Amino acid sequence: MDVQLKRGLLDVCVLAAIEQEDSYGYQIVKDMSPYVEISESTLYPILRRLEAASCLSVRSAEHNGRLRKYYHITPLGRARLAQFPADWKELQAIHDFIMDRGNQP
Amino acid sequence: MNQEFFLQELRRYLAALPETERERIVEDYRGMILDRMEDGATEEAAICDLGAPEEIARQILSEIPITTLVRERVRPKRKIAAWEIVLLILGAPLWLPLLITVAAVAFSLLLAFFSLVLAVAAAAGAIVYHGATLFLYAQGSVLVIAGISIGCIGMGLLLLLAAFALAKRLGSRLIRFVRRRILKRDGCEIEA
Repeated sequence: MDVQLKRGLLDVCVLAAIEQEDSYGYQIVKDMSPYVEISESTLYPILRRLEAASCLSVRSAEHNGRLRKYYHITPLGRARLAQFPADWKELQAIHDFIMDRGNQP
Repeated sequence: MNQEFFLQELRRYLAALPETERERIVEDYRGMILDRMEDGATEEAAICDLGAPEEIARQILSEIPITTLVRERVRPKRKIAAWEIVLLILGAPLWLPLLITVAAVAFSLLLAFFSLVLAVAAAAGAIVYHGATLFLYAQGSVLVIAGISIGCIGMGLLLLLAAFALAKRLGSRLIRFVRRRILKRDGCEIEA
């Protein structure tokens, strides 16, 4: 899929993956993998971007004698997630326009 | 490739980042390797899943604003000691006049260059004006003169637009160039 197109959608996917409970990198990859093929190297810049945009916050928690980073969705992140159905409607309209190009007046 | 080598490579490709930022990323990647190994993967397989350090660094760096990269490049790598500051101040009578001289020479060279450009432009203008007036007086029509002046104004406006577009393109080119140079020096190619 086109990188630019996928970029924004993946942001929302990641927010959806941490909506119910806090999660960490590898868990997010595993949760998403049945639906979206994503590697941690792709996920990592997204997490950083979402953190910079205050859509999620990061906390470190002890795990097996080391610190593991858990990602937590913020109210701003939830708002972004809630925005998605409206965005999708717009996308759907764009899709219709593209697919109907043969029989437009 | 073992874990330490992988992380060392990642560190090398991220050299353009501030140290704290870089170490944070390296530690995050160490955690990702460990998470996979706890899930049953071998060290080799865990690293393989994450991809090449160069590609990882490229993705991260492509999201870092150029101002951060430049700031990191410009910042001195060591602190200036107190005695160096004292020496700098005491030495002022020596280096200050030198600095002023160099600046003055550079400025005069710049002025000389500009006056040369102005002189050439003026000469060219004079020739054109002379030729044009001779031609127009021979024609003797005010309307022709007015028409030609309006045409000239229009052409000038068009050239102004062209100059704006050119400056904008050159500007973004320059930014891309600087960005690429910074990243290249750290051993990481990137299409900025």
